[in-house]
Amino acid sequence: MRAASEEYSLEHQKYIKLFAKISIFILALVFLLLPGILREDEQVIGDKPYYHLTREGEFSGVGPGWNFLLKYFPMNILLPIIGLLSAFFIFLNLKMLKLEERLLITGFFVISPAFVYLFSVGERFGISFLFTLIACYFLLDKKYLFAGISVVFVSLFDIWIGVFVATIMLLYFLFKYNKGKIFYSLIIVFFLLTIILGDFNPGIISDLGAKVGSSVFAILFVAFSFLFFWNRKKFISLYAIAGLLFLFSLKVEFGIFYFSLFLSILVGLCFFELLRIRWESKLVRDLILLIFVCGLLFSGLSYTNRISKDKPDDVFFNALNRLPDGAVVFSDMGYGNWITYGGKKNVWHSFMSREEAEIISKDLSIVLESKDYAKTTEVFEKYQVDYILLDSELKQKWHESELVYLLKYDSEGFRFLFEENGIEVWRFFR
Amino acid sequence: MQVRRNHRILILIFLVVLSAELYFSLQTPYLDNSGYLVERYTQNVLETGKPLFYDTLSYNGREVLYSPLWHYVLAIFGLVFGSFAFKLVPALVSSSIVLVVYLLSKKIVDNDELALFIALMSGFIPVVFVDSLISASVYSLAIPLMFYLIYLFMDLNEKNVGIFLTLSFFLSLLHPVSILFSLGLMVYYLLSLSENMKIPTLNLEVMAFTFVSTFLIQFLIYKKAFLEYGFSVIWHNVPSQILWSYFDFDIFGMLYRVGALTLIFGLIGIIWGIIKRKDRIMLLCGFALATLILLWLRLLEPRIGMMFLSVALVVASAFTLNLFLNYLGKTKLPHYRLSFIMIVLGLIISSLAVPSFVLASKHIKEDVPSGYELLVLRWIRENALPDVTIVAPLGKGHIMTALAGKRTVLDDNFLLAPETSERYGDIERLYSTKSEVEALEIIAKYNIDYVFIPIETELEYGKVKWTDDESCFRGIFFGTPKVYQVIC
Repeated sequence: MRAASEEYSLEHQKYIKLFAKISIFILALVFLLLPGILREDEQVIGDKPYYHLTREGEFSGVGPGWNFLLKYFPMNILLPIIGLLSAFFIFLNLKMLKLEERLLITGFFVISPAFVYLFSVGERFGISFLFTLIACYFLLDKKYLFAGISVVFVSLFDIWIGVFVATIMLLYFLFKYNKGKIFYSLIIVFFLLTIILGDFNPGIISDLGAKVGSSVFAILFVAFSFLFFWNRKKFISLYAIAGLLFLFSLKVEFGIFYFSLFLSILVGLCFFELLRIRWESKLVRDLILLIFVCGLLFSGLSYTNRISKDKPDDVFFNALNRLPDGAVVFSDMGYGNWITYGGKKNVWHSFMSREEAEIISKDLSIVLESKDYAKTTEVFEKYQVDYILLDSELKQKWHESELVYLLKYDSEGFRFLFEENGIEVWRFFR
Repeated sequence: MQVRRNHRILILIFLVVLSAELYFSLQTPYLDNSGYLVERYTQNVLETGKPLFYDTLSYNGREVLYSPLWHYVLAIFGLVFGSFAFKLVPALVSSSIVLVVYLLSKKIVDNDELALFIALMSGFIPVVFVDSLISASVYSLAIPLMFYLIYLFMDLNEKNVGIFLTLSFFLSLLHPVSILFSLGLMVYYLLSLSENMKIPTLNLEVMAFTFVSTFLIQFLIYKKAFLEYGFSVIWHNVPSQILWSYFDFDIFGMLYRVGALTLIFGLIGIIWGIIKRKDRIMLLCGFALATLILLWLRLLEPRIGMMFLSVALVVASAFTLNLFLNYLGKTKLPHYRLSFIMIVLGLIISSLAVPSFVLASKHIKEDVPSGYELLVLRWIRENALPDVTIVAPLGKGHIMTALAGKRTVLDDNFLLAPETSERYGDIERLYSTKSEVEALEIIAKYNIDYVFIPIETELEYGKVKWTDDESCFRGIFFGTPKVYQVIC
């Protein structure tokens, strides 16, 4: 009787686990497809993917591997597949680490804004992230050659992510083979370099308007759990790593994805631990955990909704299509890649080197701040501008700029061409 | 018998406070500027059953963010009492503070007479008393609710934990001031930690719940504001020109509005409570400190901060007065004890009731639209085209939208409002400029059809000269206020 009962119990657990796995898979699929479903236009979300799309098939520029791959695989199919594979490899990695909470952690990550961004916006980071996970899997499985090859692949998609992953692997080896001194020295160097180099990017919480960031509820949950677990050695080291990655993500663009993953791990661990510890009122415990889960879901869904409304739209490309191919169009820096994708030439774009962008910004500040027609003409002639394109957002952003004044009142140099669904195009006569 | 007698007295105190509030609020049939905003949102609930999230009149049409729970409460009463609900409900719930303070005081000093006296004091705190008259203010419910939660927290057990959780959730839904409640609990936790005092586990758990639920609900309701302003949401999008004065804290004003003796006795109570490591006083101290910190950091409007602070101080003063009474019992003045007590208590009451009545009289006279103003606004409502825009100073925005039913350029509901600083600057320039060209530029910018010039504006900026051009501005009303129609 008892044996039958145990057998039933084991079987029952097996089905529950299977059900949980299927649920996580569906959840991942929903969060991967939702931005596309909610989006009114067919256009790819964001500005940077257009850089890669313009260079599809080329093994050059930023993210050469990703540029190359896009020729053979359509971006909108590739991204969900990479997303699902990433979720799968997160699960496998956590299994290798023998973490009981692996399903929950995977679930928390797939509903995070970072996951939505990685696999909805066709930047090179998604594929790099997948290969990072593959590298980690091979590393944990002690197949070092494959791990090394995976790191090389990561470098093909983004050299700096490759360096980052290689450093993490080095740290792993040092830790594993008890090279404490070198390990901690490297950690300190890593910490100092993170602090010294680059500028701080304060926007890393998606709920507070960051373009890509972590859920404020995940951060709050981890901070809240710290009150319970601050005296446990295991958690202290996890919190230290999270802190380091947090600092890293404040400085480095791709850091937020790795921080978000680690945050999800920490959230999962804390979640289970909070369930395990003794509570005076189980009602309060359940309500708190429920609120946090709702909060995490809310962050993910609200970010998905926000990202689905992101630019560009058909209206922008329709306006661009009315201009002759090869013409130089001046607009905001963030529109540069769209202009190139639309078959025109831009003045600046978001993938420029910092030095290059600074020079152009300096020149264009004259255009935006000076009412002097001669100076504006000089800059526009320098960059061989043919057209000026403004949408409603840009008009608001530049509403006090002198360029808008000149466009309105200087009919000699500028001629209004057309206005289509809020997009205005002006001709500049060189 | 004694309990019954006390309850009767308590009900009597409640009725006295309620009558006093209704006596003042019913002296005028009108509401103040912020009251009209509440009235308009509630009317929308009554008419459509839904809260108003896109206000077509404010700022020429804009999205609004708020929790509509209070408006639903008012709407339910509005179904029965009509517009009287805007006076009755705030007075009713605000007067219930005496019941809550009685319970709290009893818990702190275990002296029925003193608790009754403190309850009476709480009914006449000037800043709280005035707020519940003609503003239909949500704070009239939020304050008693928050202090009732503090009361429950003091003696939390398996039986009342459910009530605490429900009410705490309700408070979070009601108003963002629930953040103050969470912060108060947090400061209390830190104080207890620093004093090495043990907080029961159940209390710690509900503290965590309160903090988490408050945070989630505020994020859900104000998601758009968080996305728009990020951390700057704490400044509520207040125009930069008035940001500092908006949060400016006037210590002398506080003495008058909170009551000087309440402040002194309350502070002594809190300090003494901390020295004596009294857990319940420590809890009140947590709230007082949280309020003071927010006021000091200019994150909380002084008027609102003072309301919560004053109630906390009144409750804490129970501790001081109890010490004082005990001390008197030990002195060689037992014969004079009663008269001495009567003098002190009389002084306290007069330091509260007198300013309350003075402020209330002033409030209901000065902050409601005058008869002539009303006539003007009715004329506009009936005679102007439906989609016209009226310009009025900041403090008159809601009165315009509610009574004239027309669009305005600016009002003090700043959250998510477009370009508040720019608009505020433009409206100031409009009223102060001598140049007609400049005025016309602003008028064109905001599509203004009518210019409303109240007496306060003329007193501040002098006569508005550019309205003299009759080819451009047709005078409609020439008294106080003046109204001109833009015809060019």
